[in-house]
Amino acid sequence: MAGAGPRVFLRLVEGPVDLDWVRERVAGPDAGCVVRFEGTVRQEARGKAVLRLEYEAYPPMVEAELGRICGEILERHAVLRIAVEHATGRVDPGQASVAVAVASAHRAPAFAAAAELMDLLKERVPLWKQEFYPDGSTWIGRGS
Amino acid sequence: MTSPSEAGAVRVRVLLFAGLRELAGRGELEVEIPPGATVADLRRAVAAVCPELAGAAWSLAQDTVWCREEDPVDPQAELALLPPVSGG
Repeated sequence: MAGAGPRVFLRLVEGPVDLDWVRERVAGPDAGCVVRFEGTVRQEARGKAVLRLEYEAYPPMVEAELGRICGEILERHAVLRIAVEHATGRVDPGQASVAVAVASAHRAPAFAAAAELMDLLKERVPLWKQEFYPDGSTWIGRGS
Repeated sequence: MTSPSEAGAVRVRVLLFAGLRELAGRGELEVEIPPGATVADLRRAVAAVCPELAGAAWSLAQDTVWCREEDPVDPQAELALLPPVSGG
């Protein structure tokens, strides 16, 4: 059973994410595991060299939508606590742009919850990345 | 932020993000929409005021909640035009 404290922890940070922050939010003696995911910046995308990314957020809606998503995850999966941290601004190849930690009594629900959370984050949370190449830059997901 | 205008139209402010902000060259727009306007009506009004955004892909969020194309626009809400997201 979950304790009485908060079960969802969210924050945006300027620059790469701090992987310890999510773990420390969810860890506890009631947990049998902590599943942690980090998304890192790749040096290549669509055949082009990526020098860096710049992330933009709509902060109040990031918090609201991530809060709704985490609420859905808590209803669907037997997990104790969820923490999500996402970068804004510059993130370089090899650095982490997003970190997720899920604590649960047993590992299967935590793995499933972390995977679903990342799918929903990429689909619904108002964050955008701009890729910078040697010869210019592109907003990803801009559409045309 | 609204004010009455001609033919009962309502002036609303919309926030722009990422590629939309870059296309428009600014972070927000003011547009006039008819009373009872839907998201589709807002889309036409945005394209009229800012031709750079005509044909651009976006969805509306009102007070940080995603909307569908047929939803009514609440002039009192915080309106944000969001291009397809790419977080993670």
